[in-house]
Amino acid sequence: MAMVNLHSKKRKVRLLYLLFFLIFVLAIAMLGNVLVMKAFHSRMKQLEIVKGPLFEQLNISLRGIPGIDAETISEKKNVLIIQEAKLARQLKELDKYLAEKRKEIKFFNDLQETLETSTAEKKLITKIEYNAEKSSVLYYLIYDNEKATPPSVKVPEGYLLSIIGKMNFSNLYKLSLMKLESGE
Amino acid sequence: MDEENKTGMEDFFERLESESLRKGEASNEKGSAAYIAHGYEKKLARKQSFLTKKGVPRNLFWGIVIGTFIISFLLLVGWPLYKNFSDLSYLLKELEDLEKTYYSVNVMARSKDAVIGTLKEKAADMDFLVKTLGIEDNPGSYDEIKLKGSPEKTREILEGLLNNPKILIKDLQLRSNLGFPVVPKTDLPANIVLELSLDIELTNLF
Repeated sequence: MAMVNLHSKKRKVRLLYLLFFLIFVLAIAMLGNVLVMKAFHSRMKQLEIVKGPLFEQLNISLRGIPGIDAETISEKKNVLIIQEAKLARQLKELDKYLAEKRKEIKFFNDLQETLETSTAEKKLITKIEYNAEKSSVLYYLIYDNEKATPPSVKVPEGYLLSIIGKMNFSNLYKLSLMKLESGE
Repeated sequence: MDEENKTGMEDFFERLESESLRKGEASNEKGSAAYIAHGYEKKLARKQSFLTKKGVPRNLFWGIVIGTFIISFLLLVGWPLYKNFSDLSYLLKELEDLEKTYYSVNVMARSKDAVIGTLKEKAADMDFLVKTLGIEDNPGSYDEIKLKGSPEKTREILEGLLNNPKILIKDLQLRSNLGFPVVPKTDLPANIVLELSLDIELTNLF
C-alpha cells in the first residue's frame, strides 16, 4: 500500500499561482512608485506656486521633476552669480573712480576753507600743483599792520601749512607767503 | 458457487472496460484502467497548460514572492524616494541661493543704475569744457593741455572740471605771472594772467 504524507514539505504550488502573485507584488510596487512620484510632483507644484513670481522674473519653468528642475535652477543661479560678480566689479571700479574724484574735490574744498578761515585782508593764490599723490598750493596773505597779530589759521587734517616768508610792506601791511601741502 | 462469482466479476470488468474504451479514455498501459467520479469528469477534461501542469516547491514559491516584493519595492519605491528626496533637498538649497543671488543682483543693479544716472545727469553739459580745453567728448586720456587766461576764466574752467564727474584731473599746475602780490588798497590795475597745465582723463564707466 502506497504511503501518502499529508504534511510533506515537498508540496508544490502551480506556476500559474506564482505568476499571479508576482503580478500582484509588482502591481503594488508600481502603485507605490506612482504615489511617490505624485507626492513629489505635488511638492514641486507647491514650490512653483510659492516661488512663482521669482520664476516668472527669471523666466524659469519647472517640469515637476526634482532632479531636472534642480539642474535648471542651478544653471540659472550660476548665470546670476556671474552677473553679480560683473556688477560687483563695475561698482568697485565706480567706487574707486569716485573716491579719486572725491579726493580731487576735497583738496580744492580744503584749500577754499583754509583761505576762508584766514582773517587776512587779501588772499592771493600764486601757484597750485595737484595730482592724486601729492599736492601743494602757494599763496600770499596780506594783513593790515594796524590790526593785532594775525590769528593762527586752521589747517585741515592731513595737510601741512608752512610759512615760506614774511615781510612788512611800507609799514602798512604785513605779507606772508604760505605753502599748503597734502599727501606724503 | 465460486465459479459463478468469478464469471460474474469478469463480465462486470469487461463491460466497464468496453465502456471506457468507447468514451476514448482508455489508458496507455495495456490492461490498466481509471475510474473517475462523474463530478470530476469536466475538470479532468480541461486542457492543461505548462503553467498549470508544472509547479514549484512551496518554500521556493514564498522565497520568490518575498524576494520579488523586496527587490521591486527597492527599485520602484525605495530608490525613487531616496533619489527624489536628495534631488529635492538639493533643489531647495539651490533655490535659496538663487533667491539670495537674485535679490543681491537686483540691489546692485539698482544702486549702479542710480549712481550712473546721477553721474550722467551731472556730466551732461560737456560742451563748454570740450570747446575750451580742445578735447573730444570721448573716453580716454588727454595730456598736456595748456591754457592761459584771466583768473575769472580759469576759475570757470576749474569749476567745470571739478563739478563734472566724467573728468578726472590726473595732474594740474596753475601758475600766475604775479611777481609780487598787489596790496589791497592799490589802485593799479592788476593784469594777472594764469597759466593752466592739465592732464585729464575722461572715464568710460558711464
